[in-house]
Amino acid sequence: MLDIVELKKYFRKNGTIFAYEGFISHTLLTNIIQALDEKMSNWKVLNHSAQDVFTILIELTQNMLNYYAMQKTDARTVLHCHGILSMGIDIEKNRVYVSGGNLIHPEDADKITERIDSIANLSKKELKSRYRELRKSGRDKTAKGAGLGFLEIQRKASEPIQYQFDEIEKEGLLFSLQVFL
Amino acid sequence: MENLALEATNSTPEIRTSFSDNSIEIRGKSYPENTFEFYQPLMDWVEAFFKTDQTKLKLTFEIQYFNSSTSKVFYDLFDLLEDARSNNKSITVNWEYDPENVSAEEAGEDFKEDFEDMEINLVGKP
Repeated sequence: MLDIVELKKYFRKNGTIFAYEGFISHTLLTNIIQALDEKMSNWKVLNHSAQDVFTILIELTQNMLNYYAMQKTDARTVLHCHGILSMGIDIEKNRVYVSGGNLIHPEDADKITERIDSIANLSKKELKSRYRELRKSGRDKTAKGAGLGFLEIQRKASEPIQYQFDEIEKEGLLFSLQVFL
Repeated sequence: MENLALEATNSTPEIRTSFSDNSIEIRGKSYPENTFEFYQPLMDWVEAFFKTDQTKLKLTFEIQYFNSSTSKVFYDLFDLLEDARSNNKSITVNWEYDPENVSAEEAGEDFKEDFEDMEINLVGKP
C-alpha cells in the first residue's frame, strides 16, 4: 500500500496547503486556482494577498505549459506534459511559498539559469523598470509573454527565486524552483 | 459597429464594448490559455472604433489578477489608446481595484507611469 502516512507527515512538516503531481493542462490550472480562490480570496499573510499566490502559480504553470507546447515545433523528443505544483507556509521562515517542477531538456538548463540569475539580485525598483522595459518591446502577437514570467514571479517574491536541476530520469532534467513571498 | 459581449470564465474576464456609449468594460481574472488570441477581437474592435467619427472612449478595468501575457496585451491596448489620444480623441481609463489587493493597484500605477499623458484614474473600490 502507498505510504500515505509518510506523505502526510512530509506535507505537515512543510506546511503544505496544496500539492499536485501529474499531468498538467490549462483546465487543471483553472480548477486549482478556482478551488484555492473559493477558500482563500480574503486570505492575507504577511502583507501578501491570495492574488499574489495565484499569480505565481499561474506564471509557473503557464511556463511549463508553454515549454511543452514549444516542443511540438522543434524536432526534439517530446517530454510528457507533467508537473509538480505546491504551495504552503514555510514554518521556520514563517513565509508563504509556491514551488513547482517539471522535466526539461538538459540543454535548456543554461538558458533558464541565465534568465533567473540575471534578475536574482535586482532591487524592487530595478525589477519594475526591467519589467516595464520588456513589456514595451513592440506589439508582438506571437510572443508567449516575452519572458515576463520570471520577472513577474520575482517581483512578488521576498528573496531570489531558488532553483535546481536534478538528473532523476533518463528522459530529462527535473527543473524545480521555490519562491518565497 | 457590432459590440462585443463576452461572459467571464474561470480564466478570462467579462468584456463588454458599447459603440453608442463610447465605452469598454473588462472585469474579472485574466490568464487565458492563449492570451493574444483571446484579446484579438477586442484589439480589432478598438482599432475599428477609432476609424469611425467617435471622438471619445471610456475604458473600465477591474482585474483581480492577470498573467504576464495579459499585462503585455494590455500594454499594447494602451499603446493603441495613446495613438488615438495623440490624434485628438478623448480617452479616459478607470482602473478599479480592491484596496486590499496591492498588486492590482500597483498594476494600475505601472500603466499610469508608462502612459503619463493619458487620463488614467485609479479607483479603489472595496
